[in-house]
Amino acid sequence: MATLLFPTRGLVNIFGYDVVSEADKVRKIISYLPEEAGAYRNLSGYEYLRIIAQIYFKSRMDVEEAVEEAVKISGLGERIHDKVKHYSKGMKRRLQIARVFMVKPKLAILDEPTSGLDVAHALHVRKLIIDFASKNGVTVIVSSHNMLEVEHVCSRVALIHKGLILDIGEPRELKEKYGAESLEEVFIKVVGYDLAY
Amino acid sequence: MIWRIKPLVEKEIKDMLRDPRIYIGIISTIIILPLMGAIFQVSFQSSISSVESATIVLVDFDNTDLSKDFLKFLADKKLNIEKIEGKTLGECLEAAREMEAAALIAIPEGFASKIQSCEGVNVSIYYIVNSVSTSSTLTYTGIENVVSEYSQRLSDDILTGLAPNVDPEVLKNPIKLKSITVFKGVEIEAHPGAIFSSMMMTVIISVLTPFMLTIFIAQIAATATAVENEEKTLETLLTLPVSRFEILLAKLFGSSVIAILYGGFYLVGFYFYMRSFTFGLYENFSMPIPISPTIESFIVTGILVILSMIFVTSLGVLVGALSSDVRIANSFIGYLTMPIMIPAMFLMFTDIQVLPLPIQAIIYALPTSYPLIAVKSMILGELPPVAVCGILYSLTVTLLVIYVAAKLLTPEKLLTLQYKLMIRRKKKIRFALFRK
Repeated sequence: MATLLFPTRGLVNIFGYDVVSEADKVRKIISYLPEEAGAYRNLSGYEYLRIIAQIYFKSRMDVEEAVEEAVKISGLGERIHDKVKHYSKGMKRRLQIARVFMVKPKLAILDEPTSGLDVAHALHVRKLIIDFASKNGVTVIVSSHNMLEVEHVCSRVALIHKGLILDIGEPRELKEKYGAESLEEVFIKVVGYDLAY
Repeated sequence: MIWRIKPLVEKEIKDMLRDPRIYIGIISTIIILPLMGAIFQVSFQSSISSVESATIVLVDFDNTDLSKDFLKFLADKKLNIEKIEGKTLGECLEAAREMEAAALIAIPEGFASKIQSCEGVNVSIYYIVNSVSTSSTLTYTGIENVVSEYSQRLSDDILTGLAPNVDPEVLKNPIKLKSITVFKGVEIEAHPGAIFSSMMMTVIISVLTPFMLTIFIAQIAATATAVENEEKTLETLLTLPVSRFEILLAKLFGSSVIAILYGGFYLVGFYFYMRSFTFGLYENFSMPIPISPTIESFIVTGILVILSMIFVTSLGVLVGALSSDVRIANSFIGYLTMPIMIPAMFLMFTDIQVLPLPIQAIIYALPTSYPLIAVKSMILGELPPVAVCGILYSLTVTLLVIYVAAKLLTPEKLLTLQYKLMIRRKKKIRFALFRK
């Protein structure tokens, strides 16, 4: 979906564009956060955001606006002018989330957005995702192994196991369907215990 | 397109220039090279002063006016002469050793009479060696030169006595040599050796600079790309709305800027290094050669340098993309610099046409050789057809490498190749451990 890997089979369309043959068009409307996303350590957070904004927007005003928005989203305050190498893991993640949202994508793909973060940073990131999606009407796809996080953040959930979508629905619907109290329970009921996988 | 490349180039330059692995390399050239020159200068100067301070012991078994004149001549040459008395040569040598002298000059009995009767005389110099160093060599050469000078003076005196109206110099060298070198149709009043020595410096610097730039640009491009892998930024970069070609182009521009900066620093450092090396005699090396590069040769050399830089940058990006970290990328680049280095060495010191055919083929097969061939010819005011053909050849090979590099900048392919390389490395390590 992020135009990085070729599908083994089938088709993926994002807002009508094929991710393989129209990858260039897809890249203009998506924004992707990899699980292990790094930023250029010798640049400041501000410089990094500005460079990315300049790639997406042609006019200086749009760039300024996007960077200003990103600085707010990141919540890094004055630390935004520090070099990325001086950031903690949580700060880097917030910077990346800001980078993803500032370009106002039609679709944001977040891979394990809170993986490895402490409680405070994880909470901040989850709040950012919910606020941004609801305020801007942007579709956000969150890929996560943390079912509690998924239940809290997502309005629609697809349960994927060994590359197959086993079920799809709203968290409440899925819980009712499988008579489970949480999405974790739903997942276990759908895929069964398979620790070997 | 340009508005999207600009921020990418800015990112490349800022990120690289602030990377200690890169800026230390750049700065060190301007410090290390002059420092090396200064070290050489200090050692050489101290060697020269050691000639003046060295003690030379002289024993005169002749005790005539002529032997005393010889002694006076040596003393006038500001040599630290100590005259000793001794019955035997063994005693004198022992005394010289105790005095920590650099040499013992023994004037034999019959010194004056043999010279006056034109028989010739043997004067023995015993060099007392206590350490092996450049300074000792200079001391010994200095002593020998002074004795030779006195011998020349005696020769002149004898010849003047025999033929008072003839210049002794004419008797010694009736044929006077006057070297005129016809170089590219221009007559220069100098021996070809002197001209070559003078030009050698220009050739070395001219060939060395593009060569160093080539090596450094490959390192920069490989490091810049490997850093993307190491810092996990490549994945994000490849999902941005920029084409693979734009990413490559940005790396090319970024690496070129850094390489040119390095080239400038290197030239300044090298200049000071050579200044120290030649002790201000640098000007003497630069004999004016009345041949100037033509505008065509300038243009061809410029194109070849640019093509070579694009070629090595693409190669560097390829290497960097295939390496999971900077360390691995630099090791790969180390292997790659060998085929670039060997032709450069050949071109610096010899003419390509005189080399064996297989070596010529290897040199011509590498796009990095052509700027070196062109720059060398440019100094001689030539534009060989091979350099012009090199443009077409380099362009083809460079485009091919760019195509491969752009195609490879697909995470799926990169991941597969990196995985294969990692497995191969692990197998090698396992095999090495098993053999132990």
